[in-house]
Amino acid sequence: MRKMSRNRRAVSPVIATVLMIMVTMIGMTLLFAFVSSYADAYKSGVGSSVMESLTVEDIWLSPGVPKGTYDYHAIISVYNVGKVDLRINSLYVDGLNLTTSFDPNAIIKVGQHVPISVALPDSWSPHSWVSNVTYSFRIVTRSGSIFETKYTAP
Amino acid sequence: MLKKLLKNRKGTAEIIGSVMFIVILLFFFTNVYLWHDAATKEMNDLDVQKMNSGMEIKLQADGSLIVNDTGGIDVVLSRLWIDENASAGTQANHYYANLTALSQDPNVPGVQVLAGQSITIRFAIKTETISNILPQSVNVASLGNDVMVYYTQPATVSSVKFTIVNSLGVTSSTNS
Repeated sequence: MRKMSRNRRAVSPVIATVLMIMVTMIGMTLLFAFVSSYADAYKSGVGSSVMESLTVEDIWLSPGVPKGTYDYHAIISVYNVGKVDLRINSLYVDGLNLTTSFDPNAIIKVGQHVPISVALPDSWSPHSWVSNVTYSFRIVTRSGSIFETKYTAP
Repeated sequence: MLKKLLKNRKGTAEIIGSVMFIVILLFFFTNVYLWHDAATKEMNDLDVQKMNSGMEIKLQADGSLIVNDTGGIDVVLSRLWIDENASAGTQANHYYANLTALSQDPNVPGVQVLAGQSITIRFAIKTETISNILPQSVNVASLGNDVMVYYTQPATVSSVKFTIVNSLGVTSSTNS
């Protein structure tokens, strides 16, 4: 036993092998952690856009003064018919960003119907919805999905 | 030449190591690819279901609505939208009847219409709305296999557009 502990030959290859295994294990653990977090982030982030689906089921334009005209407010009712919950990032009408009080962090759950109040931007002229004009609405989600619908003001 | 190459063992470990590293990397990223593939297939199935869930809504002489499932699969009705087209100088309101409230099965989020069959939506005198938050909802009730919606068309309203929405987001409309 004493002879064995005194014999220093081959210690270096053993330590080297142990060190190599440790370095490899640490490296692979780090790689696995990175890939796992990347996969999870992809699935819940940009990747989830594949599973998003939204239906615009109703658009109501707020009446103005005099009666028979509209003001600049509207309510867009949307329905999440996708497979994942989603967040709405922005809404556009004919390419212009609509002003909305809708919380961009609010989650629209699968199967949920949500009314979203929007208003025409101040730069819009005339600053009101107009009868018989067809508007193109675009809804962009946090994951990057785009849902478009056209609506003609009655 | 080939014999010489096979005998030369130098660099073999590096090649085997590189191949194993690539295989391990592929194994990791296959997870993402397979998930994406499964998700795409699931959404394609949803699109197929949407195409097969055809509906037809018809206004009857007695003022009731008949919703026909003209597609190849059962549909679940989620909402009935009632959009008033007001006469000149009057305000047009939009109401909805929440048909999910009539669900009797937690797995069926609304009123189910079997493939090839139909249900009738009848109207009764409008009762107090559930909420004043726009758009307003109207009360609904089950009537056996049919549905009762508590809405009456006001005299100031020239016509009403009824739109039925199913649980897949497919819509069908008719005007009064």
